[in-house]
Amino acid sequence: MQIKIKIPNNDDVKENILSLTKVLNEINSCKENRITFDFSEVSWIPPCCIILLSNKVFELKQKGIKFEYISSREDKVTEHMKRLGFPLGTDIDGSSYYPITHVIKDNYNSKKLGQEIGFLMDNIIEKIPNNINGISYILSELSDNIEDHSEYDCASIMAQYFPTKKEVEIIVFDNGLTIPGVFSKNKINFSNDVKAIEKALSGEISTPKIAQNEVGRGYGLRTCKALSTEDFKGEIYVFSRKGLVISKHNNEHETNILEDPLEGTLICVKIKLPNKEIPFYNKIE
Amino acid sequence: MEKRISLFEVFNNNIVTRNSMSSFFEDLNSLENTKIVLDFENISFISRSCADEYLKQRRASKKKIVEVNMSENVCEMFKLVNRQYQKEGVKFLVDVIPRSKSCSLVFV
Repeated sequence: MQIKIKIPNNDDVKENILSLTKVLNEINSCKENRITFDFSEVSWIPPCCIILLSNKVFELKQKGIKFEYISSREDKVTEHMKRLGFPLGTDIDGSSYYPITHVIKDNYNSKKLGQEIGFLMDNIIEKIPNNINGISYILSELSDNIEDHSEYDCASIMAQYFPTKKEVEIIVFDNGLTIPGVFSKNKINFSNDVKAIEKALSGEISTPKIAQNEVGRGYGLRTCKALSTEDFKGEIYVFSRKGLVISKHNNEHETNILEDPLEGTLICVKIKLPNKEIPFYNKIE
Repeated sequence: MEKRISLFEVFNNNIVTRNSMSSFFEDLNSLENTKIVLDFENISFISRSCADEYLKQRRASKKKIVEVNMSENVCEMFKLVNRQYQKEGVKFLVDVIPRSKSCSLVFV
């Protein structure tokens, strides 16, 4: 089966993921044992799409489905995709980015996700001039969320530093239960998937079994959002099942119900680096 | 009988995820040594949930545990977790006392 990758060929995270979820659902419905992704009409693909497609390829491989792809007509796109680790992730470190790394849940090695996130921190932080602790904090909270709540099989992470723009982009995806899915499982009421994400971002609700074990739980996504949008003057995108919540600097807030659900949770954080380190330890409640 | 453990050798520079810490304490508690010195030298970052898990596991452990070479950043994270406990009305740590090259965790 051949699947045409149709995305808007721009850098807009929302537009790209809304288009890609259609493609991913088409892939999910495929019953054949061989799939070809056709990138021929792709003239630009942002990292958030590459990480999702790479995670999907990883999943297909696990299921024993043969995968191949037709490259974009534009060499720069193919090079960009390979550099970031498409199709199966890579351990080749880049000059200003930490490429896609897939972490398979290993019930016999509970340190695995922590070790991978630790390597990512070391690698990306040495490329960034300032604010290392704030970025470490965001990464650690995102990985804790995956580990504590999502019941994932495969988590994918990457980070990129843009020296000219002085921006950092962190992308984390897990193919677990999703935020609304975790809420449903724990009998937490919510009216739709956007409301579930908003509750998680507000820190209003944490998974009960976790909350019993940690006083003050529920700080994770809330503090990530606050640090990213207020201190780092950036933006955070949370896609989970049919919900999308975007929070930006200056209290800009946007939500959307996705037509095609995402099987997992994708969090994309884009932050701007200030000139000096942010004393975030005292600012977090 | 005392044993010194370099956390850098166990975790590298960053200590991340709650499970990593609970798994570490499982190993630590199975040691025969009664006194354990945990050396935080070269640990540049500990996540909030790891610091939280550390405090819980350390309090529950029957070992005599002493921390050394804890950096200012690591101390700050323990202070942050302690503030969150205090906010919830739970007494866990009395204080995190800054010292010249390390910090001391003072438990209730």
